[in-house]
Amino acid sequence: MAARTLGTRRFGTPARRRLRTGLLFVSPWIVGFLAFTLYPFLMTFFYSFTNYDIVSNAQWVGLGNYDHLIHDGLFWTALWNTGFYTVLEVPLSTVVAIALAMLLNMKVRGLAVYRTIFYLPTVVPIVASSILWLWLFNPSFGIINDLLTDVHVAGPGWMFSTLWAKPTFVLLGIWGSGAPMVVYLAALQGVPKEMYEVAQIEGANAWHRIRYVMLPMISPAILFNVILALVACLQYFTQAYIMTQGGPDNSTLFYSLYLYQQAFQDLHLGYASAMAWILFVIVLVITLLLFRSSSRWVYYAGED
Amino acid sequence: MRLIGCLRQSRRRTRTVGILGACVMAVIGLSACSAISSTTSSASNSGGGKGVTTVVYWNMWSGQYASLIQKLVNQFNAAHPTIHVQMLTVPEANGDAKLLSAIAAGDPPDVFTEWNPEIGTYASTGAIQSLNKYETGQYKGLASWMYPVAAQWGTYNGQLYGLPMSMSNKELYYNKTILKSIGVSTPPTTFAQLMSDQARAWKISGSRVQQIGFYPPGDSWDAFTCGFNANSYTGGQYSLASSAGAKAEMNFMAEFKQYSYSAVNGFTSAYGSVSGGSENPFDMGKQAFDLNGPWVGADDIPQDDPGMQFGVVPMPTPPGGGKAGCSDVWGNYNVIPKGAKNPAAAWTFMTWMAGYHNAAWAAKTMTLGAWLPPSPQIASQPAFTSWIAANPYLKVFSDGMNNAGNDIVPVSPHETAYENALTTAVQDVETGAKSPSQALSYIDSQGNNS
Repeated sequence: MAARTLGTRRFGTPARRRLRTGLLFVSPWIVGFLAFTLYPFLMTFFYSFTNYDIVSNAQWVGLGNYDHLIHDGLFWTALWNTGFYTVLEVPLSTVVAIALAMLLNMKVRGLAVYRTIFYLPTVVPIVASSILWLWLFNPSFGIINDLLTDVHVAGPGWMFSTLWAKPTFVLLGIWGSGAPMVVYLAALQGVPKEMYEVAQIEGANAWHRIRYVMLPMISPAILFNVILALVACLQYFTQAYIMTQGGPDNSTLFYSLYLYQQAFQDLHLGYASAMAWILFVIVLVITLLLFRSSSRWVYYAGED
Repeated sequence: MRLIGCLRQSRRRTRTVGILGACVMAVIGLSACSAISSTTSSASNSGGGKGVTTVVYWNMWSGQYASLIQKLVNQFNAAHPTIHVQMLTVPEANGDAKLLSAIAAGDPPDVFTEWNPEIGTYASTGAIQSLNKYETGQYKGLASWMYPVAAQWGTYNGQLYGLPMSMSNKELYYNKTILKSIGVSTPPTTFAQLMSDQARAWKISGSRVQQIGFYPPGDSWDAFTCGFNANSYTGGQYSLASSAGAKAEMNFMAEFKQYSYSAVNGFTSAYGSVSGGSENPFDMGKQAFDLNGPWVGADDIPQDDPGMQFGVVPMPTPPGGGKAGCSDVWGNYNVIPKGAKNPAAAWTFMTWMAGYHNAAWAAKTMTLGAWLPPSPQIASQPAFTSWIAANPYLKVFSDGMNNAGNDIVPVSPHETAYENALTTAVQDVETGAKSPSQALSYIDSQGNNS
């Protein structure tokens, strides 16, 4: 009875009306989310237990797809490639983005120009930048190998080498660190100058000020960017699809690329759905671990 | 004051709801428009209204080829007052995926031109319709009218699923200038001579390739299959690992391990970019030999290096008792997807494009697209024979279509996985990542377990 009274008070007629109006306003998003995100998301779970080729009815195979995945060499290759890329790309791009943000946080002439230059790669369409990098890293005609030759270094095969193809994608990823850089820049500008001054008075050198003042203060931004980068790396697809199609020798067959090939080239939609769910679980577990660990290294002002 | 405030609030709410209502009405209105337009379209699709049946036709051509096909479609429309073919080009990179999505959505085109080896995969899943039911009456002799190998590429489990409108094979191009520069005056007639000549034509400076002799790319396995007698698909299973021909072909691929894979492919891909994406340094005068189709001489070379002196000969027979002068054959095949709204009109369009009962017209189209005809009847038409006479190198291709040893990619439910595995396996051998026997086992496992 008490609960009902409270409920009536809380959601009285004007409040209900406001709620209804609000829901009506967001209804296009809700409908879109239900129809184009939640429904396909749940259906892939069902399809992951079926043999489904898009044009005929799905046939129930139980855990068959998951069992097949465990014995599929290419699945493990794709997982290894993606893991390798993620482990290199996430820390390197984080360090580079923070370093750039620190540089751009300095008071020097022409700062707006530098900020624009470093952010520019982010707004270049992925297809255009991929083609550009293919040319830059071409082993025979590319400017990178030309420069290396000038200093008497034999340039590698880059995208055409099984050894160098993944590191080349990492370099491409670092080049596009403009978006996290902007977030770090905003975070850096939120760090009170007094904190650096106090640290300096207490005898902290430049490294100490970065290590014990700056990094803790921008740690929420680091957590945010690391999670975004991690999810993006685990779903890496477009550049590899454009530049290498998974070659040479499957050295750039990333997880999402293999998933795409299974789904839309081989018509193994059920198999691809199983792969999608495995990826989802991997992303979920890593993200949860990151969130759990964040209490040890992320500092939120206002919290004790 | 309170009353005014309430009124204001009420007006604001009314305005809010009004705006929202307008938005909802606009959405409903747009949906209605869309519904009306789709109704009109389906009325026209079903041949209602003016009695004209619309055939929706998708293909993956672009650029000048898309314009050419549109011209052919216009000619069909002009000759068929009761059928209107509406052509739409879809990007090649995801054309097949778009087709499948359209089939799954229940709104596929009536005709789709397929050139990828997908007929077996699509036929086995029911994505495309068997055409056998249309081979009656005036179309009864259609299968025997085609080159046997042309019919074979479009046939799965004894049923015709794809009807070719044009064909291609591959013969050996050679650059006369490069051969002259290495002291060779005549093209190779033996496999050993080809390998010896090509080895001398390479120019490599440090780790950089400057000129290629001959190099089979990762996706070139099919081009050599009949020559090595390496086709190993029987009883629904791939068995390359136990085939002497396949072993010989993979050993041949392994010979190119001596050339740096990354250097060669970097060179090739760069020339591909500057020569309009054909990924062929031969067109640019930077490769001595190339196993390729008639369009290279008819379209690519005149565009990329018009002054190039080149010739074409049949591919010399590989060692180990392969078939002499044979080629891999494939083509542009029209299929009717599952759920097509006007299959009968689609069939009329497809047979017209194939040149059945329409050979003189089809012969002219072959010369425009630098294609080979799907039937010897078209090949004997004056338009085609005079084109061959004017371009003697094309005679090698035209004669090649009559070679009884010609072969196709096996039409199987696992064609896609098999082709992907082939490309990877050849790359593995050329990079030295796998031995020939490991590569063959890999192809079998991917093809049979997909």
